[in-house]
Amino acid sequence: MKPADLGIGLVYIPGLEPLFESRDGNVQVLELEPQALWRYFSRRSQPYVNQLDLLERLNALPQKKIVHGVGFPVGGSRIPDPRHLEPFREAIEAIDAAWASEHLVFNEAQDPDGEVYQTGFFLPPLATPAGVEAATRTIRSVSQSLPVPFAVETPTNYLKSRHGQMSDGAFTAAVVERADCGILLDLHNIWTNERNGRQGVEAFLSEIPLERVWEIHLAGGVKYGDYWLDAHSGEIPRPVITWAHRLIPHLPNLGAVIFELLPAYLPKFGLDGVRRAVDELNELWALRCSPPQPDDSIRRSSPPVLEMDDTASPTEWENALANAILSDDLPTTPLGKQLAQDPAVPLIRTLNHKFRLSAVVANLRMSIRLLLLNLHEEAFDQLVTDYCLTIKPQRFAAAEARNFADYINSLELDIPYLDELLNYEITAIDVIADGRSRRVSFSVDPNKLLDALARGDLPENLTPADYEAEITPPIDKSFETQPLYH
Amino acid sequence: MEDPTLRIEKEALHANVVRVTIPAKVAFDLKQMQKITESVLDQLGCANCHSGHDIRFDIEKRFIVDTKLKVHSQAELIGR
Repeated sequence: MKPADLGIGLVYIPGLEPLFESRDGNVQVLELEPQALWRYFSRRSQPYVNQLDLLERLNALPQKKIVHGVGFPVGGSRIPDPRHLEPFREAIEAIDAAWASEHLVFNEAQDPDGEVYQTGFFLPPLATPAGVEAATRTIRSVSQSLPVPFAVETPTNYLKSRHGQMSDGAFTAAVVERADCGILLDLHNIWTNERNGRQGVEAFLSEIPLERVWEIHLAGGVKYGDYWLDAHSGEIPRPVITWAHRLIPHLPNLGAVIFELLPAYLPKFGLDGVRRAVDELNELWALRCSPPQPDDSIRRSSPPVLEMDDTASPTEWENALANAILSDDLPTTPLGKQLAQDPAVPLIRTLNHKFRLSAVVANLRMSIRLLLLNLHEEAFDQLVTDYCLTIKPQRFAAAEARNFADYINSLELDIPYLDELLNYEITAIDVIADGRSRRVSFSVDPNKLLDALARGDLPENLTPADYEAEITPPIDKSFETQPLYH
Repeated sequence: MEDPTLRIEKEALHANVVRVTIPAKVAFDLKQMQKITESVLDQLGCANCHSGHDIRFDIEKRFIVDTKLKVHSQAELIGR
């Protein structure tokens, strides 16, 4: 199929409103990651809830829209929670998205007792014919429920290439052909894989069906030890731009080129940095109509047929890899022992811990500050490690924060004000989620307590008294200037 | 730092309880974090589902460690 010709754009993150609201037409596409904006109510039969007022405001922006899933990937053997499909569809329809996409990875596994758990990190699927069948089944379970065409994103894979598994390009090609879906080609991911010792960009591109590439993702990364990370941290590396220049004339059905940036990097990269990236993307988009240089063709190759299948099943692979990342138990299975030798496993474990604690910090910032101010750094690091090895990750940041608060409470640490701060910040999550004020108690003036922590100071010399604090919902400052469009 | 978002509405609820109003999100060291938009839109949702490097925790930890060092350094100066 040929998708709509949309143009270049940005993943929506708070802070980019000036670029989306500008009348200059430089940003033609808004890519929404709906799950990042969902409210999660674990006790409801439908736990995932869109912020419809925000979707309405996004829909009013002049850009064409596409939807990109970030929480229910389709590369593994487990079918994602079907309850996510209704709000996913709702988001697609609310902003009239041209197509939707998800990642060709997995983020769920099962423990020996049969309990399904989140991995807290995108992990690469088993690249064998059995893995192709599993991913195909999972993709179809999602794509057939959506009102728009569906594409899968090519992932980063930090693991070493394994004997008996397909190349990254061959696996991607087999999956998209079997599932009959589009490709969201993340060129930074593919280049990252090459830098980290996996298949090269040229070989990858030679193996995938280029006519299925509907969308390109471009982003920046960072060096971390011996690895290059897909950090979405700012400037697009020059070799990635060069690859995009070379590739785009060969993509007959390219519909969008999108720049990705994590919100945490926006203050450093700045809106001017994003504007420079937008200019680069517009230059790339113009190449779409150019004929390929005759001496610059993308070599086509047929990957070898895999005869020696990896002996693991997709389920065994997913459970073993998730366990290697999340547990410090000595592996007992041959596959577990092999994975434990891969230097990417401790890397992913570290990155996973950072993700989980970042989700906690985002919601329990003042409690974390109080802990950091009271504990030695080594003691705090040990606490974090113990938490991550004891408690399984959560898909939603709010749920991760609740688990962390429960864990800290269970330790009964002798830190003044910690329990009431945790209670305040956990209650505040509910206030933000449903917009209704709530009351909590404090043994000191909460404003003085919070003011000290906001400065990074240890709260001291506070006069004890009984306080009842009403927690008021935040005022959303996004799209303050939206009336420009009316 | 006086935080303008901390609106204090103290009133005697009854004899020994003081009622105040506090926000769900405390504005924190904006200058230090160089935050462009104070927003909670990406805080509760599925923001940790990724395969890269999330630096929010590192930023927070560095801020507190630096603060501790600064306080420690000042204490040493005063002690001299």
